[in-house]
Amino acid sequence: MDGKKLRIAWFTHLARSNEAVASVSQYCTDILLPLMRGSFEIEVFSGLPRGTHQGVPRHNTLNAYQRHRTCPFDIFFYQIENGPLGRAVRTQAGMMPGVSWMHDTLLTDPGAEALHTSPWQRSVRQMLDRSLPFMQGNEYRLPPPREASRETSVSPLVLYTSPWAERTFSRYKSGRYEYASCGHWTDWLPPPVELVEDGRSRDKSRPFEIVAIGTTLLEGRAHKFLPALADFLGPAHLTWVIDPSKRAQALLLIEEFGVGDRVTLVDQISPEGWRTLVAKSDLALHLSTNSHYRLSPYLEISRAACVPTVVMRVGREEITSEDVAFVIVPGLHETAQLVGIFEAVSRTDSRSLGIAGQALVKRENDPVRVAERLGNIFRESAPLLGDVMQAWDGLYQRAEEALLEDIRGLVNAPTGAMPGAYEMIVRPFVEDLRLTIANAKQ
Amino acid sequence: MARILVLGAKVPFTHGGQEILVATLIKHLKARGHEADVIELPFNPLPKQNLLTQAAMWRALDLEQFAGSKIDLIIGTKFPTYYARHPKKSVWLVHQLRSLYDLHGGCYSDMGDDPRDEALRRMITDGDTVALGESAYLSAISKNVAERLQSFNGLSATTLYPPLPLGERYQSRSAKPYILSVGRLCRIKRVDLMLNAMKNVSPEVSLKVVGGADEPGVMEYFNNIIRGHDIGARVEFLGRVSDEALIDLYAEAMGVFYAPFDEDYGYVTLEAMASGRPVVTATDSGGTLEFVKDGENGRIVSPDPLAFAEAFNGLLTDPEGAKRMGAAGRAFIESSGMLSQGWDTLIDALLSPLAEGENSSTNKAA
Repeated sequence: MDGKKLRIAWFTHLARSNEAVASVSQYCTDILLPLMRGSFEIEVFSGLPRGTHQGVPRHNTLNAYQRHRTCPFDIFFYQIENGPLGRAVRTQAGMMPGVSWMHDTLLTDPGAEALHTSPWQRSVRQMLDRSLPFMQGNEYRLPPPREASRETSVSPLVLYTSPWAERTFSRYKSGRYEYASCGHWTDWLPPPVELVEDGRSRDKSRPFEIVAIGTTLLEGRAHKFLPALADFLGPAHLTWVIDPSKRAQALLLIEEFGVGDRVTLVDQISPEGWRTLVAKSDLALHLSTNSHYRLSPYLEISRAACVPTVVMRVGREEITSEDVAFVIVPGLHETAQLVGIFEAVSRTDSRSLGIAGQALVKRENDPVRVAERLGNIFRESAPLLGDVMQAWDGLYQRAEEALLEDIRGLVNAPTGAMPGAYEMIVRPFVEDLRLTIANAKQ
Repeated sequence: MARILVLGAKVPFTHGGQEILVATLIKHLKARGHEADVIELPFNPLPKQNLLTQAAMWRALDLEQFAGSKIDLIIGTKFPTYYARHPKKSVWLVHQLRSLYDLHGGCYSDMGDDPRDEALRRMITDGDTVALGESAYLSAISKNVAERLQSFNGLSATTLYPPLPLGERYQSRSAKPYILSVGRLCRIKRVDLMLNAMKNVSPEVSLKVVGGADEPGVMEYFNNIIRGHDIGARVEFLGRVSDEALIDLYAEAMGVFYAPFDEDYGYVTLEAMASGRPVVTATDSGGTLEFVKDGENGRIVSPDPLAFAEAFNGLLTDPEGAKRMGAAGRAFIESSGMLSQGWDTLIDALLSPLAEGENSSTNKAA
């Protein structure tokens, strides 16, 4: 390295100032940027207009190529998350290689069909094999990929949020390309989590406060924790954080189990919002984490607040140790297990049951350590990514010429506009455009 | 008085907001004594490679004079009309090619990650920045469209809301138990949300849908939903209707459904308000949210059929509340200048490059 700061294109969702959204990438960005902007030359790319964020330049994701053209980046760093919030970053992550950090691994959001069925494997091969032609006709459509394959294949380095997630999800290798210069490797990087100040009331007469985050779908286990709440005999109150689009279904479930007077629904909240909520609670239910592909920081934030947590054991490779959480086994006795946990925690000082979880967060999720770890990953991978980035730029130059050839074929075809129209109309237009861009760059 | 060309891109056999906007603009330009006409080229989004060709064709046009007579000003409206060149080019932007911008990567875009698609997107994005950036006056039909322009191209545009096409003619009468949906029938307008909601809407309420099919297979898709919920007797597709029929339909609807995905502007919202009807829209409907205020002049709900069913059931069970919301919408329209009085300001703004020319001539002479 020549001592110059590495230039990082940092892709993340960012909310407009008046939105409070459940974006994991925004949460991580807001913690890590202040810790890293001194060591790297970072520019943020999001769905927002150009401006600044946390003291660094901010651009729209779709303008990444313009910024790269003007002032090349060493690393494109993508934070991948499911849902509409993550769409813009996912789209880019399948087109320009870099480092991808997976906050989710099951990407169910219905993005562009043209991306689901895209020939990204072919593009990666074309990057290094200049003789491989661009696809035609039916070759263009491929079966939809498996778990985040597209988003984890173009980038030579993929980061998961835990060793368990890396072990579990990196095995989906269909279509993954081994880059000639650097291969393809994975690592893990936990989400940064700051400790949460205890906000629990010392009033013994208050009801037992439970918080849950999850979905109304089967994996959210509402059909288990709501009857458990109904069966629990002590005074208790549940705050259930839910996607606003599922509110109507949630209300039906609450009515079905007769717990309307003990449940408050809260629309999906940001990790910051969860910090505030969980700090006042005695027990946090995270029944759809880990094995259900959501690798987000909500569970870690609950632990950071020293609140005991309940998770599910699904499959043999479940990460959560019983030392740091109540682990329940799905099945017939699930409700009874939950009632037992409610009873145990409500009889105890719940802080004492959260100490082990909090210690784990201190060890693994300390923001300074996470930032150092990510910085080291950037420094180690930049030399390896350099060749890949250059080859990818070359592919786009070839693609532009291939596109113009396609257009010439269409325009000059016997059924096209008129003989020679491409040379008379399209080519001069493109050349003029290129000249204007080149002049603007100077 | 000036000689002005309004530029339109015409998709044959379809009729939507852009056609209405161009026609009413020309009508109002002529009413103010200008000589105004429309130039339209056909727009065909497929095959997508030809998008660049169509931009190039607009670029190649000589619009500075016709048969020896000078054209004083051109007004571009949507992609790719604004690629036309003229020393005095105004743009009143209806929208760019959204599949390359805000819809990119989503289910309403056909752009993939084949490097040629990305090369095409990059060339048109660069081209838009150049073509729109060279305008003598740049405006957009809504804040939403102006914000997109700022986000993606770094260009600032003034927002000029189009006044309503039927001016003072909208009426309000006693509500009948039907929901009205108006707009082209295509996926992004999301009429399927309302069809799916109908099974949970009170059974005495019907749905009347105005607008023509604008996408292959869309009617088969709708009919499948209707069969699945067995709501055929409660749903009526009226196709395109006359202005008079539309005024009547708005006038008596219990509420208007309008929930496209991230709409540019949406005449329907304002027509409903002008007719004193509450509008039910979605939290992600874009331009409509510049006007609808939840609980004041309509409802804003999540894009979920159950939420829409609840909102319309609410209007049915609280007719006084519905009437109050409708009246608030009408009051907003009357105070906003959108009935017809707004045209003076709008045309002054679009024609401002002419005044600049006069000023600069004066300056030069001085």
